[in-house]
Amino acid sequence: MLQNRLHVLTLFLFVCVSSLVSWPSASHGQNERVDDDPLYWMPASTLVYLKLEPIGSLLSHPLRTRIQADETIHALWKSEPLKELRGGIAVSELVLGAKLETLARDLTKFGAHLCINDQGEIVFLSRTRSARWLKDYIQKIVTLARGDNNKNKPGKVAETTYRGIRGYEVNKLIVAQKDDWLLVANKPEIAKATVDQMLDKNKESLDASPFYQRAKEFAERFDSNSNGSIATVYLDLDNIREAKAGWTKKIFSNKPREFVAELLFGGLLATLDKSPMAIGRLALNESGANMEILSPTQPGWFAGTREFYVGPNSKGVAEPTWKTPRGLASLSTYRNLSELWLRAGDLFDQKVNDQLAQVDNTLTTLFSGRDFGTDILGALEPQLQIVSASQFFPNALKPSIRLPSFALVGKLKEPDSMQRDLKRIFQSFVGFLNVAGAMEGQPQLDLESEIVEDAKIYWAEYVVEKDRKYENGLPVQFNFSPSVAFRGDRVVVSSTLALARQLISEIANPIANHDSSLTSPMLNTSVELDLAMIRDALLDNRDQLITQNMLEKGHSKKEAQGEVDVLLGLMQLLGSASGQLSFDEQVRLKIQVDLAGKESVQANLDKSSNGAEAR
Amino acid sequence: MSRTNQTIDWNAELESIDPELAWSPWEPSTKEPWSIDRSALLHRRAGFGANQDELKAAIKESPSACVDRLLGKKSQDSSIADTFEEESAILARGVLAGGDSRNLASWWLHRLLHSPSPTIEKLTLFWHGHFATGAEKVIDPELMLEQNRTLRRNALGSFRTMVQEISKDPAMLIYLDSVTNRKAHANENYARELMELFCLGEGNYTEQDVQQLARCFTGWEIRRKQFRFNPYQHDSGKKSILGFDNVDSGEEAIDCVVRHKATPQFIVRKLFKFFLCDEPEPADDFLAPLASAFVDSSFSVQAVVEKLLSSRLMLSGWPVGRKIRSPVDVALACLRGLQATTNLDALTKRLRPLGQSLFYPPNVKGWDGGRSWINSSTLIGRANLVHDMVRDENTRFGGKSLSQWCELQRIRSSEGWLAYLETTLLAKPLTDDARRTLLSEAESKNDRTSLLIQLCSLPQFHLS
Repeated sequence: MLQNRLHVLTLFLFVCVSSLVSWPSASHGQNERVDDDPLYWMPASTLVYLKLEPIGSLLSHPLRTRIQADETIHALWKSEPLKELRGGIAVSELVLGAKLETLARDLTKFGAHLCINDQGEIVFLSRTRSARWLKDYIQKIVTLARGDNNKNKPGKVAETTYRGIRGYEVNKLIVAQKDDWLLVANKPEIAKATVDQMLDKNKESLDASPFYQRAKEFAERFDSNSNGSIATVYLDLDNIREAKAGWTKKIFSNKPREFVAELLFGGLLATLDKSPMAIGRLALNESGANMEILSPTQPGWFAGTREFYVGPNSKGVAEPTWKTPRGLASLSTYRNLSELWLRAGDLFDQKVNDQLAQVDNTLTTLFSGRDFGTDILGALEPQLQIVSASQFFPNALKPSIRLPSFALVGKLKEPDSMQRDLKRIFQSFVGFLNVAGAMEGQPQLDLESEIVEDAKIYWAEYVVEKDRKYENGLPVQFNFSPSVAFRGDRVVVSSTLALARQLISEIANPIANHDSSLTSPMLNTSVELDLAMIRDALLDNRDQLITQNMLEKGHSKKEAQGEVDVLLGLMQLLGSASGQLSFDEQVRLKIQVDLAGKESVQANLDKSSNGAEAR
Repeated sequence: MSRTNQTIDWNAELESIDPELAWSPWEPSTKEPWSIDRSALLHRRAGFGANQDELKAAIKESPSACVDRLLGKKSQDSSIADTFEEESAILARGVLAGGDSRNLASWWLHRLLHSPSPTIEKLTLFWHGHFATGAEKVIDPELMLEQNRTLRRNALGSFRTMVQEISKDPAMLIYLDSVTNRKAHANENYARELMELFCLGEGNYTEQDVQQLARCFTGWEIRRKQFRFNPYQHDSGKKSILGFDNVDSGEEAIDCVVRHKATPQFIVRKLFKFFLCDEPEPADDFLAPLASAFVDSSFSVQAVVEKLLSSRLMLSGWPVGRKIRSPVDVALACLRGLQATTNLDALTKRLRPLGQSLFYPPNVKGWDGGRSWINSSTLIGRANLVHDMVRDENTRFGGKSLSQWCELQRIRSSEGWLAYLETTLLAKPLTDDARRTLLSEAESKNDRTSLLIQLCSLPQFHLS
């Protein structure tokens, strides 16, 4: 029964989130009061402090208006897979007697605050529309929780009064009201302490804590742009590391690192291990949403083991990314792979090191006896790029699963000798694939090469057998035409010839093709995703996604189509995403997700309908 | 007493049952009415079980009409079959695109679960065990899928045609090392298995027959995943096989093997064990009427299966509890009985440790079945299979959660739920003690899923 399962915090979040997706009603004007400040009520032992702006500001943001005006979203909202969500919202609105959107606005009329202290105690404070409104709202929640409509199994609601303030314990959460403030806590101790502070204001609070003061100062110095902020979080890393509560141990445990995790996040983990604080901010702007995380850092924290990540004195800088037509994603980073490989003994436990030793042996054999860590990885400069692009198959005969192409772009320290070695290794690799493939009846690779201006490209293509029918389309191998290409000191190792040619051509004209938006001098890693192109690539494989959905979820074809189309429909809204990680006096991680422009949404719609007709 | 009024005692020993009586068509009577229990038995044996709605609908038609429907003889709504085949073809394309034979099992489980002709699927599974071919050696999923289609196409058809087609099936020939068969070195492997495992059984042929038959198959090759006859490698000398003289081609030789007197007994015995009971072994005389029907119908599998399913021996209820469910049967009985769907990739993985990986039979003899399904580890594994499947987040019942589905079925009490499960999933009724224990557990936990899992862990559930 709904009444018995009602969870106050869940309901609150449901109200907030649902109001974003539910359909609009008239917006309320705001009438902010600033005479009370929850910073005086939150404990000085706060480890995590989250400040949420009024939901109303989010609901009236132009971005939401843009999403709601989108016809695709209208169609999605009315689609079968979202029927249950629509029903759930309708029932909740009926039970609570108001639109969820209105409830969310009223509940967070003047913003909300959440803190977690060193004992794992949580308190949530929200300044609502009015004391009278809040009283009614709490009464509705309590009535629902008591399950007054189900006399056989009433829900458990304990009622208590502390210093004249009435509180309710609903499903292990304490809910109370002080004037127009809603208080929700997970433990009675923090609820009482907060009430004491609200009434007396005579104890040390978050506002005066050294952590918050330092964090505020740090934010003022480095957090240049807080426009459109909807949530800000402050983390006291020093005390989180020391805290007794179990949840912090999970984050800072000294578990052996995975190789890939170290490669991707090693520098961030080094910062988390030493930095006193971190600040995160989520904001909306005209084109989309962005998130930024800032934390103080020092070059000395990486000295030795993790210099591979940021370079000597944290001066390692990634190159601007290469742009390619039909590009899906690009990643440019500074990583000294050779150093990482050779420092594995310091970074990983014995098990990981044993696995790496095995891989090292295999790769050393594959690379004709050249030591993989020193000779092969050591031949590359630390500036590396990975580029992915969707493929175009001009012939009627296409692979039944169409995979994107991808390539690694690197810079050789000694191009003359390494080009010869890499060419020979590539030829051996193709020969190995052909022998292994022949034993299993797989298609064979045909080795070719070409010279374009001062670039050399070596590639291999799978051969289509003329007397074979390929009734189910070409096998998955036909997505690949492995290639290695050289131009000057650059090397491109690509899954397809087309991408290798494209990149080699762009390397010839680096200024025109590099992304000039990457201006940060200390950029360590940059990732860019063209979400519209990724959607196209998924759309190309729609049948495959439907098949997978049917087998994995047991759905009928219609259900699977519905679910896949909802996913593709949602992706239609998205334009691009990017992430940047830089190290200076602070480590800064920026993530931006932009919506698609109206024109591209329409183009996507056309593409979808054409695709559907073709099918 | 006239034969029409005679009944077969449920506890009768097989050797004491008159074969003529056993294989005569069953007719409902006041003493033996056409009931839900009989309909459930027929659906368990001819397919993989049925839900209550299907069982209730079945008893509104006559037993023979029900058998006809299960065999696909009675015209069904062709749009249902067409839609199903279209879905299955899309799934097959998707699985083939991945290039991994292990994913074929999920595709087949989808067919076994949703097919509007469950008997054809069940027989395809039977022939997969009979003409056992393993993907671990064949590797190519396209060839395994093609063989599966051949088995399905001929599942109820002529055994003669089936053997001719399977003998040229690329997956089979790869599995039995007959990719090339030259006159200078005739490969005896396929010839031996054709007689020993596929048609005659041990003791019905000699080593000389094997050698002669292998000569007939010389020149049979697989090139580019297709069967090819290479006349230059065919040994065109005279051969004698199983008493038939002047045999030359492989096709003629196969015909000789199929026409041998041991073949009908061998095939109907296997069908009897598959559909009726694991034990005891029936005497040849007992199977003689079935073998005659097989020969008289020019080796029609349908003729034998129809006689088996509509026989007095089957519908009297004598076979109840005389077969041990295979792991696939266990999973599908639950799913079909409760209108459930689940993650088929996960189900495929869960079936492996229980000894029944589709497309991966243990060896050329296929699955032994019967008591071999059960040992100390698989018994626990079978209970865990149901537990994991029912608790899987992707498992839905009629597209809903179990509690919502029970509401729709108007199952509102533990007693009602247990009664539903008992008639749908169990071959034999629970003892009063077992029923009381299950109900008291159910009351304390107040959870439909727990009762289902507990019921499926009882020994009775593993009998069909």
